[in-house]
Amino acid sequence: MNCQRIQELLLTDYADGEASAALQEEIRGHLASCPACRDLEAASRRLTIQPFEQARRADVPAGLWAKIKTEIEPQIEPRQERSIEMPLLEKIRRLVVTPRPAFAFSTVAVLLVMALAATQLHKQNDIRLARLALDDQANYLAARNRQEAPDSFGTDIERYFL
Amino acid sequence: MLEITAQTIQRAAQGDVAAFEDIYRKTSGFVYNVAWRMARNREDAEEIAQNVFVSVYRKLADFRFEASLKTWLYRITVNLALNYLKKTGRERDRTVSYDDAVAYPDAGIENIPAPMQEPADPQRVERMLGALNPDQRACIVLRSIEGLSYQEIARALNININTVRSRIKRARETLLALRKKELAQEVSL
Repeated sequence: MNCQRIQELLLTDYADGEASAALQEEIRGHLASCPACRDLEAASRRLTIQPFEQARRADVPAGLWAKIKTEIEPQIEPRQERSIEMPLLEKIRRLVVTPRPAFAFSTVAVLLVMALAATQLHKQNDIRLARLALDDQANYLAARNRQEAPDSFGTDIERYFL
Repeated sequence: MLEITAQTIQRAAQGDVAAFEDIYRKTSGFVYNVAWRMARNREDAEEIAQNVFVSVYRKLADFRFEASLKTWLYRITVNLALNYLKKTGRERDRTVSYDDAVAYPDAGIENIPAPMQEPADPQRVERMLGALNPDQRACIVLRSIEGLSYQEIARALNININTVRSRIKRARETLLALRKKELAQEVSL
């Protein structure tokens, strides 16, 4: 390998650890016997590599995230609105469309209670009417025994007209 | 960079700000530093880094897991930094022109004195980067400051690995020529 090729590698692959072990060995052998290439290697390391390795790193400005957040927030809100709207609509739809076991059970129970109550009221009404009929019959029979008008109620107005 | 799970990336892509902030906390260090080294001033670096994360937030849903998030972030950062420099015309205002530096085509290392140690100079790295064109600078920043391999740089910049090698070689030749010029000026004073 000639000096030109070695110097290309000294500025690139050899300096940056990209050369294979065999190539590194070959270059080291050349450097041992070539003062010009050895000087280039030393100068390149000192002037083009070390200053960057020793360069300080800057701290990220404290307010940078706040600025970024402010800029992306208009993009965040529509996504959130969508994410809120959809579940609400979905909830309403499910509430209307999908039967809930608890609601179904309670509805059936209320209907049964109402039916039972209606039946009981109806029975009580029948009993009351039956009693009234029996009373009327008893009064009629008693009136006949006393030779009274069967439909007289013994009021003042009856006495006046009759 | 600390570990970022695929789940975090997916949550952030769905608009989860807390997940996106987690990504920001773990990556903003290198994003900001690459932006700073590319732009060479803090104000521009902050604006570039802000653009990077806003862009990442918008594009995260398109992220494909074949590439690493870190490589993807390097690519976006370098691209936005290059666009920013182009748009603002910052490259034209540089104090050290790489055209001046490469006016010394002979890197002539044999003529560079070899002091035991280079003098400490906080502005030196900035001057060196300013002597490079933006494409060379991107390769040097990713290699010599961020420590990426040639293959990683090629992926991040979407260029051939031999182009990476070529840009690094040219960049270092330019830096040697620049130093030679500086030393020549120091001697003449």
